[in-house]
Amino acid sequence: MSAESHSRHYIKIWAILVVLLVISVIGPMFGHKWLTLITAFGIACVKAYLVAKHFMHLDIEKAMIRWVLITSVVLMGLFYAGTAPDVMEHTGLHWTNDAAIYASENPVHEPGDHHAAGAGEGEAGHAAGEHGGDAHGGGDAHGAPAGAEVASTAEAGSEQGGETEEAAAPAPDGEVAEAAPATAGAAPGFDAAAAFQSSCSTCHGEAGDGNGPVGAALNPKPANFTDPAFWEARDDAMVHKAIKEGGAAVGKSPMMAPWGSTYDDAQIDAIVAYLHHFNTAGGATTEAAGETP
Amino acid sequence: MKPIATTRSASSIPTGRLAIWWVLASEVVIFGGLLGSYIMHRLGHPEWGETAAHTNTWIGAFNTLVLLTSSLMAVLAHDAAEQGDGKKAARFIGMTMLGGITFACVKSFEWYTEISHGFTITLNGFWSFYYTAAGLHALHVIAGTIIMGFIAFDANRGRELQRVELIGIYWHFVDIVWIFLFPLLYIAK
Repeated sequence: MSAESHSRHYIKIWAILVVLLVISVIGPMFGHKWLTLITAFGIACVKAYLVAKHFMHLDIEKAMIRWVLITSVVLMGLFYAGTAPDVMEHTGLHWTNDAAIYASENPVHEPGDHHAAGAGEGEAGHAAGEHGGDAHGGGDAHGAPAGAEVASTAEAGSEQGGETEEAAAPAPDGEVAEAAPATAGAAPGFDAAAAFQSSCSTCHGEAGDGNGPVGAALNPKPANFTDPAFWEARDDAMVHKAIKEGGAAVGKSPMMAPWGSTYDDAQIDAIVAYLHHFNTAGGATTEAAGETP
Repeated sequence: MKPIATTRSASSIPTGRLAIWWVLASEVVIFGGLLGSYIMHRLGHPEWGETAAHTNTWIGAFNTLVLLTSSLMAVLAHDAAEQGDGKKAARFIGMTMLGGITFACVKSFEWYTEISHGFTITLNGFWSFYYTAAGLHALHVIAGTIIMGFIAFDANRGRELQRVELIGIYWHFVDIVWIFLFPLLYIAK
């Protein structure tokens, strides 16, 4: 081939590539999903093939080079096959990806609501830090409405998430659990307080106020059992169901995991009874909560 | 005295060309891992389609055209170098560089517009992949453009003409990566 025909050949390939590009842009305009996929990714493969063959001269390159590249592509495929099942699915045999489920069931963040949400999280995170500190230090935070806490700390709420998380990390103390009333009741030998501390407190907080170290990052916030309004809006059966089947089962956040496989009905009843002692309003439990140091 | 890499050949492939293929083999895994991760997340998050609708298909398409054209210039430079015409090769490399610079300028404008409208890398998973994948690709465009400057300088004096082919192979690969990034980030909505 003469130099002239070489150039013409390359220009011809370029013209085909441009036509293919135009088709891939027009494809989605018809609104058929399969057509878009073909014009987008089918054509991308054809374009890549044309560039590799005619511009990179892979067709006349030594076979060894093609094997090296094929090996890389196969390794990439192995990586995809190995990790994709865990990423593309949000539940498996023994696991659920609550964050992914929550994200896929809720609208994505748009710039407009991003700033509001970001600021809100910052305030809530900061409030969690303050609240958690009070709960362990003085104990009177149980009675303070969460809203007031947020308001009083919102002005200073410019800290980054990392800092507030540190602030929200609970100091090691077992006083809350010690002060809790014994609620063995229907499940003899079952320690509801210990179950709460091991299974619930990371999100709901050791003080049951919804300000656990993990809970600080959640949106919506985990339930606050110290809030009388929480108990006014729910009966024990609903709380039982939420614990057993997860928050989504009662129309609440799917971030609340189902515990039915960990605790039986009697044990969940004991946990529900235990949760009542956090309530700052109503009956004998007020005293118990009030006495919490 | 020429460096040994330009005069010796292993497996009957000039060492420099063997080296560039090895670079690309590792690039396949780097970009493949990144794009593969994006694809599996995208399939698991259909809601990303809403947020992907904010990318500008026309800017993406224009940049695809720019890269395809610059690839043509790169292969024409290779053609000229094979005929021993260093000056012509340097001219074509210059045009390829112009493509790289245009691509980077359009990209800067695009990102500036998006960031000023609040579409930042921290907004959500889609934008995180968008800036990471397109950013890594843009770094390759910028690196290639800079290296082409040195190669064009030498080629213009008739020196190291074999390098014209090597940078061309790299540039076509950068083009291929964009050929896949374009539908992934701009068309699938």
